[in-house]
Amino acid sequence: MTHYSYFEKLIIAILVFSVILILIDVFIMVSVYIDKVSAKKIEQKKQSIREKIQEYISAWLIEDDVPIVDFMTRETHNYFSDKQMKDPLFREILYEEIFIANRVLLGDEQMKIKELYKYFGFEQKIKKEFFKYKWYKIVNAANDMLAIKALESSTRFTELLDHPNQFVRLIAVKAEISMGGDQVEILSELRYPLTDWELYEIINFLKRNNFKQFNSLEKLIDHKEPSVCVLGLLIARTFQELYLNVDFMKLLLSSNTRVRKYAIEYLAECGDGSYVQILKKIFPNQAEAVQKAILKYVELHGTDDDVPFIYNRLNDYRPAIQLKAAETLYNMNTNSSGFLNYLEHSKDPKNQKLAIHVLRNQ
Amino acid sequence: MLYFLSFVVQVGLFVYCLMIFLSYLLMGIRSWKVLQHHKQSNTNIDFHSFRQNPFLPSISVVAPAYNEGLTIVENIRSLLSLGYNNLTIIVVNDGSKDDTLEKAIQFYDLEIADYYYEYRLDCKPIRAVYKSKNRAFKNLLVVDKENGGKADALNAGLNISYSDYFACVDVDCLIEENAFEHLIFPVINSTKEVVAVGGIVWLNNNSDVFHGHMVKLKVPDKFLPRVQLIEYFRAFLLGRTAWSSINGLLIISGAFGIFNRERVIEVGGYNKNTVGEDMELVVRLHKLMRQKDIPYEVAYVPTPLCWTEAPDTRKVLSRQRNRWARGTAETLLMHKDMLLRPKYGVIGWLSFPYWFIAEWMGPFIEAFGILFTIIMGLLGYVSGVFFACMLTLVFSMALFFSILAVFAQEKFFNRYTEPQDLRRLFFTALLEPFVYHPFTVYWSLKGNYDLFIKKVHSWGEMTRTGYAKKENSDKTTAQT
Repeated sequence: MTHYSYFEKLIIAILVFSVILILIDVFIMVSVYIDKVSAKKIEQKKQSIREKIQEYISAWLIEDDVPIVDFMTRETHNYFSDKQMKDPLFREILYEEIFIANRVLLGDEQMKIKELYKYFGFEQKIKKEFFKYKWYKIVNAANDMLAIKALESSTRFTELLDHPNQFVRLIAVKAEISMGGDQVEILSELRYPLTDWELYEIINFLKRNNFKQFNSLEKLIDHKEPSVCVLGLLIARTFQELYLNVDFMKLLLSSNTRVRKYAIEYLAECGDGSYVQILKKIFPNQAEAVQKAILKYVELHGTDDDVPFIYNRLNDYRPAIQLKAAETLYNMNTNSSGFLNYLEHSKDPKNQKLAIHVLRNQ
Repeated sequence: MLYFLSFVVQVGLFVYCLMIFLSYLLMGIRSWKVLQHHKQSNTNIDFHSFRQNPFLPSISVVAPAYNEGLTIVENIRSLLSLGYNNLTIIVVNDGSKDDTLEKAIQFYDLEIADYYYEYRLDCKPIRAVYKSKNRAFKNLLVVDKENGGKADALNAGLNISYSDYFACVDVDCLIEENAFEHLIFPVINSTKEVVAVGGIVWLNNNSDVFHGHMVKLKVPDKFLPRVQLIEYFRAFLLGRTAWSSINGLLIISGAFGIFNRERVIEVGGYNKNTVGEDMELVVRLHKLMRQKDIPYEVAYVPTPLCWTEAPDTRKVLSRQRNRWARGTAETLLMHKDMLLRPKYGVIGWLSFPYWFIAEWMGPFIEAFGILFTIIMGLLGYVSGVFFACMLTLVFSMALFFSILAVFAQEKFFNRYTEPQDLRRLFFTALLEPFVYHPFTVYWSLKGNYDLFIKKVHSWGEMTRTGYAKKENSDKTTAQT
């Protein structure tokens, strides 16, 4: 009897559970379908609002010496009524349009757009968002503040340099630099490892905004976090900082592959040939990417004495290194290039093929 | 005795059912979070400027082609139009019996090149490497080799490639123009070594395609491709997204993914002795990195980047599912030493047990459950009410995950614009458990039967209509 009662309870539980699942399904299906059906209407409505807003923004831009309050209180501009401004869709589109205009305009016109932004209270909205918990709200708010040049010196950005989310850290770096802080000081505050993408984002940002003055870049290169050291090397290479007071031997013998690779690339581009011997010595134990960087260095700074070293690399077990070595021979100097031509006619079929590949594909 | 046996089996099946539901639910919740994070992250990445980045790793696209004469010109054109900065296209003609090579030579003005390579991976002899005389196609290489199958062709492509990463793609897949910017992103945004990256592969039957580009995505007209589309939503949006977030992804679709070239060569390339070479390779990469104790990642980009044509006849579909079942069984058995081994971490403790129980054994358990219930029902040992309840439970669970997957598609990608597309997807999801799922169970069982009893190890033929042909036929229809 007890068993039967338990069985009954189980059946009821299964049925209730199944019905709940089916009800959830029905709810999702109906709501998703309604959204889809109404999407076109909403898009049309958005478009009509957008056109009207663009019209008023254009009218505001061609006005001269009229305070924004006067402009907005004109009879014809009642479009921005309190009722309209309470409509979330309207506010959303107005916000978007202000930022689109801000992106394409310059000088005084951009300043006028900023007036609109302040007039409609978006400044307060963004500040509120900026102090929220979710990372993407912080990033979006900071991005908008950066775009409209409404950054204020705030300890918040300094705190965010140590945020666990990479997008937040990145925008904090950009904001701090944009506010006029010392780039090297700000970047040396970074504690989290930087990925390649973050490195290139920072360098692109510095290039785009013409930040070229770096005081004591050595502070970055000597940083205990290897990726910050790599950032320092990349900055030095990108902005051709030729005179650095750095112990490159330490970098070339670093346990971090990226540090070694970027140090060699920096030396290849901005240094002289004084590291050829040490690089040849450390070559066998390196990763493929580092070995390619070493061969590039030898290509740029090597002499006839280095031809045997390069020739030995033609016997590497990896064809990618063999080819790189053959290319190094071709590009290093006239004598090494002549040696490659000699290999083209050699009796060793492998070396012959390698030479032909390089000579035909240059 | 029989009553007791029946009771025990029913409880066992019920527990199995709940375990599967729970694991799917956990995956669903996890995927939802990952998809949300991915969507927010993507708004902060400028993939366009990213393309100009001179430091991006180089990629070789290796596309094996066998008897693709109908579509080869269009397929190569589509690959050449990919926007990645540092890309080489390697098309491997795997000893086609038709005019695949001749058409490529003629259209792309190819000539035999002095190209240096070594047979680092075992593959059938390479007859020649072709390059175009036209500088506009300077990043195109066409390799002609003896027939050896897909894995063999991929190994040949790897022998030819010198890039940091290589992508394996099915030559007839449509790839989004910016697909490789998305795929390479996890590589340059990870502090660990990324050995492989997979992306979402979706179906494009009946969609509007022009010159190798997706113009308008539509839900397939026929039931079979449509129901497969829902399967793909479930697998790629809810399944793989969750597994990748804990570095437990065991499969990267053979149609589209990128791999670290040197690591793949280190593990011996593609295995020619299995029809599940894509899964087997990923498992071997996991094994290598875990054994060497190197921090690594098998990443996944939950963005639809590749479109392929689904089989639209039962015959072709059954062959495909048969092959998948064999591939899964072969891979799991080849690497059974990883199961429950602490050394292999999440792979040994979670991914492998899940694949053994849910993916490989699942069809056996389902088929056993159905047969057992029918027999016991005929003998009068199964309560009709309990049977009906279980059926409702299984149906509601199956429907729930299908609807959740469609919902995820709508919320995070919203690629289908017409309300009728949604109507058809929902209707298909309702029918799937009754009119489609039993067949997939049967095909899986048949696959296992073929593998263990008939010892079948070959690929079946996959007949394709071809986009070029479709475009031409559309044009002809329009003209008449």
